[in-house]
Amino acid sequence: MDAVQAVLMARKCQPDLILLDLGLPGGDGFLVLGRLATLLRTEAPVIVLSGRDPAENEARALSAGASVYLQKPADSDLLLATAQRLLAAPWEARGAEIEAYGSVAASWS
Amino acid sequence: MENLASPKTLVFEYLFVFADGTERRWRAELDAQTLDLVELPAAEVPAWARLSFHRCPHCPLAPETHTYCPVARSLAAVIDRFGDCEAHEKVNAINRTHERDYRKQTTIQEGLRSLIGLHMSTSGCPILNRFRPLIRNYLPFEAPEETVLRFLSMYSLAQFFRHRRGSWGDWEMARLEPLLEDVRILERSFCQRLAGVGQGDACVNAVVGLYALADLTSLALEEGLDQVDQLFDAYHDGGGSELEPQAGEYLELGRGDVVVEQLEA
Repeated sequence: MDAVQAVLMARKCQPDLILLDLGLPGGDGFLVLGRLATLLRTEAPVIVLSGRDPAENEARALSAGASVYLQKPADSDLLLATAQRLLAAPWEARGAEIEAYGSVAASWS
Repeated sequence: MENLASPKTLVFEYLFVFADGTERRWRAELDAQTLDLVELPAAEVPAWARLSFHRCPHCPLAPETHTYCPVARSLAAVIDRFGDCEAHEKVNAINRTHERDYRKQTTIQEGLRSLIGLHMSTSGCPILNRFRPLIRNYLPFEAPEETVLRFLSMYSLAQFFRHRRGSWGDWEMARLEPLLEDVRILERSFCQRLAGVGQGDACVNAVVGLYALADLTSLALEEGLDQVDQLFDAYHDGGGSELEPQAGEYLELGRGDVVVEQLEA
């Protein structure tokens, strides 16, 4: 699936949670984050899961709308716990939750 | 490609043809007996290959005696050659050994997973050394299910040889999961080591793919290897009954001159 197809899929499926890589054909994960924020205005949390250097990409991804940045390969328990907590968080509290997870992601990077 | 037939060495040649027609090649030559790389490609060893840089937390090597991580040193030239590739790039991948050619339309990520796995297993890393026997029946671009079966087969055969030499054999595969966890820790550390190296993400994603294969093997173990078991129906339910020892039969366990056991009548 390329970047454009990912955006179309998100619009069609209205997912509760999005797991997004940064390296995609036909664009990249930042393009998807931008489209999700400006075109779809989705409130679904986005977990960016990437092999790229977090020192260069984490802050940019979070400011572009990602909820969490995890470096590949992420421990499956951490990934699952992150997804569960993001899904369980009330919409209005999600902003604070995202901020808290930013530190978790940073500790992993 | 040159004539690869050689009794003393095993040669693995890779050719990746990208969608735009460009080609990239790689050649690895191993000692046929020891499976050591005969020579590493000439390249300046980069700073990210130093043992102390993102050293694996369970690494048994000491930085005082080992300046470089053997895996990183083995892969330095590979990363130098393929570090700018993006994981999703489509390639026609060809691997040629002295026995046969393998071809697959795939992504450069999968092609590199095969190549990087070859270098990692033969690098001299004490943790990955246990995967070295897999290289003798190397299967480039294999499907995940093939990897799991090949790995479990190798591990089982290793127990047979341990048993034959008088050591304990892990027939229940009880020690396999800790070994897989060791590999995952190593691959996670290595991805951190690689994260800032090169412009593309194909190499790091290739290592992530190897990590996923370890995960898949763990999952198969958790499920009791049921799916693998189904492949052995010919040995179950009466099949292979001729293998059962008969009462009073002398059954040699291992070498006949080491252990001989008489079954109770």
